[in-house]
Amino acid sequence: MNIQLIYANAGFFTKAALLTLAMFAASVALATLIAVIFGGLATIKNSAVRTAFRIVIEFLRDVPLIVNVFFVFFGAPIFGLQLGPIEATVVSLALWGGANGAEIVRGGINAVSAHQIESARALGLSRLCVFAFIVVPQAVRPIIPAYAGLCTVLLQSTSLGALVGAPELLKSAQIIIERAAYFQGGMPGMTVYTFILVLYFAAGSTLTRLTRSLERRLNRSTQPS
Amino acid sequence: MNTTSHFDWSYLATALPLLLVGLRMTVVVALSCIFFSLILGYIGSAILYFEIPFAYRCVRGYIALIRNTPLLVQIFFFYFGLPEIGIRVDATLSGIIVLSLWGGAYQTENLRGALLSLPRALIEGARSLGIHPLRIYISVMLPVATRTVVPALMNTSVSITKNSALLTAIGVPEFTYVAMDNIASTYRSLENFFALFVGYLTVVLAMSAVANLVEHSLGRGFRK
Repeated sequence: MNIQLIYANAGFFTKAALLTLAMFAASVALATLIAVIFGGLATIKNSAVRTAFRIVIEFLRDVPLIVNVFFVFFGAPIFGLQLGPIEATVVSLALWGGANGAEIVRGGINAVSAHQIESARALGLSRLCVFAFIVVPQAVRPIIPAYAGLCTVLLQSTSLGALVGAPELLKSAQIIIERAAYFQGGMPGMTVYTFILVLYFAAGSTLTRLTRSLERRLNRSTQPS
Repeated sequence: MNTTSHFDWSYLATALPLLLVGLRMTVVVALSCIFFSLILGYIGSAILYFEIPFAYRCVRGYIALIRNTPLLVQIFFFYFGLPEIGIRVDATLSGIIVLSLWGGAYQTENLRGALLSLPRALIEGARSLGIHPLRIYISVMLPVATRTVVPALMNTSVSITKNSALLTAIGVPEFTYVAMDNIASTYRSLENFFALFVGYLTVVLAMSAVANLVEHSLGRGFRK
């Protein structure tokens, strides 16, 4: 273990960690968008639309995420879509997260009682209004734990970018290890991998703690006083 | 020349034997990891349930560590980091070890939840018959808990199978590795990705079917 190696590359690690966070934020934002749209459409009465979306969701969920990443990076150029490693990782994480999120959203929407929707309709609200102001607020609370779990997986999955060459935390760690092994020797692998494991661990547990407090705050407002 | 953008069935036919070897590797790795992860899960959940003093903290830490860090980093740590302190294991075996440890953490959580939700009367009834606690755990609690948690166990098993694709990164010759290797040597990405999608869908859907069968047969005699 030589901690010196971490200090010497502090700037490099900071840049990589920031890129990881940016990729995480972008994929969560896009995945949420996809999840709400797909999840909403999967609850529609029209069975053809519902089946079509169910098939897309199932398909994305059943294929390993890394195969999705490889497909977007190596396969999509055949269809004329050429993405850089960072973009390809974010797009595939967003698609995969969106498909998984859609399942969660669908569960949340189905859990909203039919009375709520029917009452709102009876008051003359439009379908879109009902969805935005009646269904969504009530569907959010029960899905938070599952959604937080999905976010944790997305945070960890940014590391898959390393396999297509996105210079995020894992890739940067590999670069530093190779450099150190070549120029200095010693055991850079143990040091650097332990270091980034600690970083990921800290980020993951912070995320868990944030969701717990969010959950507590949202539940407080529904406590009968 | 526009050869790569057309789907070529004859190429797929020639690549198929190699792809099937890869798929077999994926299935073998996945099945062994599922097996070991279930064993870890049963041991871990017992330790958590009985709150065995020192081991309890170890299992808690193990679960937190596994669940909060990316599997890919764990794989690299094991395969590239540990040799520096003298632990050298070949790629396939280290893949199986890491994936089993990863799955074990999730299976432990699944089983712990099931054990906690067992009715107290069941355990108290067994205790009052004078059965040894370990015996109660093995012959009374485990069968009942397992039955309630089959869907979650199968979910984790499917995740293990899908995550075996990550072992590509350390050169385990499984399904994804074979397909990506084919692409690298022939540039036929369309056919190989098609094979990957179909192969993984088949495996995962087959596992869901098995899960339904297992759930059905374990639930036999308990339906009202």
